[in-house]
Amino acid sequence: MTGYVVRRVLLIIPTLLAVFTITFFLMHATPGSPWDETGRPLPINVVETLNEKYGLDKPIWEQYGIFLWGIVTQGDLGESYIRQGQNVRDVLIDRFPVSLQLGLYAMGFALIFGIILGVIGSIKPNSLLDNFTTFLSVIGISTPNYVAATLMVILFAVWLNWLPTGGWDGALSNRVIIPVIALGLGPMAIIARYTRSSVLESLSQEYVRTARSKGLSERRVFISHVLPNALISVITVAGIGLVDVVTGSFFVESILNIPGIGRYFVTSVTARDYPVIIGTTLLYATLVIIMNLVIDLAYTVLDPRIRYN
Amino acid sequence: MKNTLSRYSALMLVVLFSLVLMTLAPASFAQDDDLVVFRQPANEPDSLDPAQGGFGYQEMFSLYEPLVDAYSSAEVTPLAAESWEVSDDGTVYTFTLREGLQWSDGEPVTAEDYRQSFLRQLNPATASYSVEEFYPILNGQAFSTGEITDPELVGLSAPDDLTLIIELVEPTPFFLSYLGNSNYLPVRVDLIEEYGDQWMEAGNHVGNGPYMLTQWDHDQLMVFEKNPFYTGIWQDNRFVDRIEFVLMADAWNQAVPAFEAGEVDAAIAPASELPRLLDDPEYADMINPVPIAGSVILIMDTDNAPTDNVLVRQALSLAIDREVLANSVLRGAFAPAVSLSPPQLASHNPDEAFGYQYDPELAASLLAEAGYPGGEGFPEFEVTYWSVDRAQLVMQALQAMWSSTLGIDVILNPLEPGAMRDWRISRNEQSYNMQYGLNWAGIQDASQFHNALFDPDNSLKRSRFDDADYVELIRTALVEIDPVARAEMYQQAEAIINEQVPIISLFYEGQTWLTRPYVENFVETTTSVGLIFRYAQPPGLQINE
Amino acid sequence: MENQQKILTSHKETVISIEESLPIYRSQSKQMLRRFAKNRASVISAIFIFLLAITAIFAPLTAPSGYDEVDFAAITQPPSAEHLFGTDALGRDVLSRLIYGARVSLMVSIMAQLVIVLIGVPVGIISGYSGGWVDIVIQRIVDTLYAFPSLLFIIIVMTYLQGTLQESEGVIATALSALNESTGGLLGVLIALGLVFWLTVSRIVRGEVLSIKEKEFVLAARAIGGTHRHLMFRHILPNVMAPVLVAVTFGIPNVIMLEAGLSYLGLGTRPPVPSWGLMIAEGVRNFRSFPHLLIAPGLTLSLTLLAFNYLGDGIREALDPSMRGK
Repeated sequence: MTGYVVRRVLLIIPTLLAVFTITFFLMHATPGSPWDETGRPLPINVVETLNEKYGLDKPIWEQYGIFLWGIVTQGDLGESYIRQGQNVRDVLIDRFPVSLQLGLYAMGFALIFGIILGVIGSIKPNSLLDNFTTFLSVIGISTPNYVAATLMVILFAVWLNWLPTGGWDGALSNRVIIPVIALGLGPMAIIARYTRSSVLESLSQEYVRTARSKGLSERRVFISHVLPNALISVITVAGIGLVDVVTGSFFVESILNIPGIGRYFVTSVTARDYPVIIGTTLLYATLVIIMNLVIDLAYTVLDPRIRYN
Repeated sequence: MKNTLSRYSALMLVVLFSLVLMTLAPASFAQDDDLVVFRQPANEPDSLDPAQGGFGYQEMFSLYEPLVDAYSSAEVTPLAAESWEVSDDGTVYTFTLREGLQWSDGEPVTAEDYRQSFLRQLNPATASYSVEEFYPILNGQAFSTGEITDPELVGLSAPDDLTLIIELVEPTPFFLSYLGNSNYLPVRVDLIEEYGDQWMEAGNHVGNGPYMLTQWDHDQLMVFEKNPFYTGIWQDNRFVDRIEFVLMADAWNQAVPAFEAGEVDAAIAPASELPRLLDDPEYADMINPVPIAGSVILIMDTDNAPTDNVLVRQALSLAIDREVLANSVLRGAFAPAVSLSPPQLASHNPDEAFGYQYDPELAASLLAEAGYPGGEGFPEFEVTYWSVDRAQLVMQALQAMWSSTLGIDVILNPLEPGAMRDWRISRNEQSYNMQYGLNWAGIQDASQFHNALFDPDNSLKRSRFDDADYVELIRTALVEIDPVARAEMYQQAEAIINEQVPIISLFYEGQTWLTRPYVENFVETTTSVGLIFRYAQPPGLQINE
Repeated sequence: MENQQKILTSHKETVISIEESLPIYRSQSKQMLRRFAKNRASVISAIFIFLLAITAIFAPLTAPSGYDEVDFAAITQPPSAEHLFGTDALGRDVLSRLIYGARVSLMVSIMAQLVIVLIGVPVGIISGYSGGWVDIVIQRIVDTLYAFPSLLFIIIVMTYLQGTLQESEGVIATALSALNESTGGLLGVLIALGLVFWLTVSRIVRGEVLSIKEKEFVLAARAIGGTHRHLMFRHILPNVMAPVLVAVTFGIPNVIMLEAGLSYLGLGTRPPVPSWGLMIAEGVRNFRSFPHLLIAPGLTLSLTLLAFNYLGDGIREALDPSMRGK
């Protein structure tokens, strides 16, 4: 077990190196340069000075080496090419908590409502109620989050005037409601479907029958036997969902003016702001790796069978 | 039993919903009742440095004050400079600064500050995006490329605190317009050295404009407040105490909901929102179309078949129904082009604009005359443009127009915007058929549409149109001091282009601003700047309801 | 250890909720069909998808007009008898664009699944069947690729492809360019998706192979001297196809949704070719002024995804009787 964890942690290094390498060369192979945003080409000497300033005049392998060396020795991701005076690492440190908070909230929302919907659906399979919750799930799955965000802004902010149209005031303001729902709808739907089928599966298990035969009330059986077992797998789904939600938040962040990382990433791709692109990708890759590890470990802890198998 | 369970879940659902609803509260920004606050949507500026790109004019002209005001009206008027004299040959400008001007940290504004700022723009180490606008200054170009390194040789001098003398290479009739532009704004060179990259942050930044930067939460909010040391023209007319820029990812397309929800006092409405807003009695009166001195253009390669043939170019232009394009497809957000350059420029010449009539029959017969009757035998023809919404819509409309009136099926080649920039530069050497582009007049001068687009010495070759008479004409016009004669020359030049159509205009740029009734006194500028809020209000009017 | 490894990595499969399926014998196929037929929702969904596919394939016959038939006199009209779903910003019939868009959206998602299966299944089989160092190497690669944040990776790949495909020279580039043309510029989506999502399929397949490998019928075949190739293709492949089929059915809606997201970023189809994603992205921008531009493609998308979900459920239950009777 410990050996396994150590091996997985050590694997982070070559994995991040691979992510860095692929992103670096893919970005540099894409046509376009970070300069002359305005469409009017800059004088050649200006471009040369800029290239020199940011080391873009060096051979690509040397640039690769310098960049990598900076990351390894100082954790330095360089300066943004486009936004004057912004250090990429500092910006990511500033913004990541926003995206992460948003992601955690959205997953919390998805878990609570997903499990409730799933349980309701599983109580009487194929009933009207079940079909209704399935319908809700499909709405959740089939609504792109940018559509959900736009529609909610129109409904709650413009028509009803209940909520602000966007912005960020920290995790405890009402500004988080629209983005959290927009981001959480998709995972909520998946969790609902997942809960429903796990509950149904657990209901037919041996131990449930045993518990019933012991004379426990149906509610007790459900709450202390069926649900915990069904939720083991739901939690692993939620872990993956968290990664998807955090890395997929850029639509919502752009539409709702949230200063998270996603919004920063998309503009940096168009602007060819290489340090930002690489920094963001590395950060997300780290998140993916850690979440995968956590999920795997959680799985082992939650499901004792795995250890003995 | 199962019933109990479902009731249990339903209860939980209700409780959760009410929890969510409890956090709801009316939307509003924190406000101080004693202050007049103006809230405006804006894009996050990439910088506040006049030597860099990616800033908003509203921000720049609030934080800094140029020597002259060249954008509020057709005439250049004094701002930081009280008066100026131009030598008879048009090459020496002597400015006298207003007395008592101060930076927002209380330091006096001197002529040397302006000189140092302009030298900084020319300094190769600055890598200024707008360095070409400083080339008219004597030895400016040589200094910027490192050929000469002694700043004393550059035609800038400040004999005393209030006098700035600028010597030019040759007569440059539009030089005053340059001086009023955002690139010629003064900066505090000493503070840039002290703070390095961080000089633009709130707390570090010092400007000489009527307002000063007091807060900048990146991607969220930027706050300007009155500069207490400001003694310039606007000193007693700053009705607004505090300007809040609500920073958005795309303020040009996203701000309308915030406007409707009352979170901002003004917003740009995208074309897709216009039909609804015009029909809405609440908003119809708040719509202010603001023309911008710029055109959306199609550039053709005049060295490459089939567009080397003027008949083909004319046919393509005459087949475009610009009224339908501007008023139906783009919902009236922009004015259809009637001449190459927009009406703000002296070269605008709709009277001699052969290529700008909509005449499908004539277009078809011109194409037949060129050897492609009904589009038969027309070679493969590709239009390259960037894959942004408006360009996609416009190009699909044009494709349909050309197909139905001329019988040609052009190939659409949308490129990702970053790739499009590379593509254009590569077309300096390679041939192409047609490309979509924008041309904006940064200053109110006809040269922005003629010398910038067509001079063969220009860094960007674009259309390769190389008519000797025309080139002679625009080069003479460029240095002509007499404004009447100059305008006449550019009118002639425009007539040539309108007839030869190496580049055609589709429509003129514009912004549609929504402004609350209590927002007044904004300035429609004569250049590509668009709208400037002056924040000066007649007393008694409230900015916030 | 082998088993632990399998279960440790099995969470990926669970996203699309694949239960371990039993080996399938040919005699069972009739039973499966019967089981599937009993599920009303799945049957209706299958019919819906079939009709949709037919409508899309024969679009020139079924669509009231062409997808690029512009009518400047009828711009953004609400639904009417003439235009059932109204017209768009260029006066094109929305219904016709939906039908042609179905072609693009379905073709892209099916082709993407094909790419995924073509990479994922062989890799999974080889990895699971060979075991040893081959398995370890492949699993390390899979783990590495898993670390790529998929959406970000797809955006980078799309930007790269959109920048280079149009402009590059050479035989391969020209061929790719032609393929790109025929998918409305969505070749990039196929490549990017294939690169990212084959991992999931290969893991599912590997897991299946590991469990089937030790099953009696495989051991028996091996005992009577079956070659590795024979074993892999005749015995193992047919048995892993069931979970793969389920994964594919659930994967199709994923691709459709992803295409919608890319379209919103301007990385979708090339005009005038329509796709559902593009239409939804356009619709969302015009929603306040012209709600029909969002409602029509939005509802079509929801219905189709609903159908694919029910179909997936039906297939899974038919293949795996333990899921029956809920």
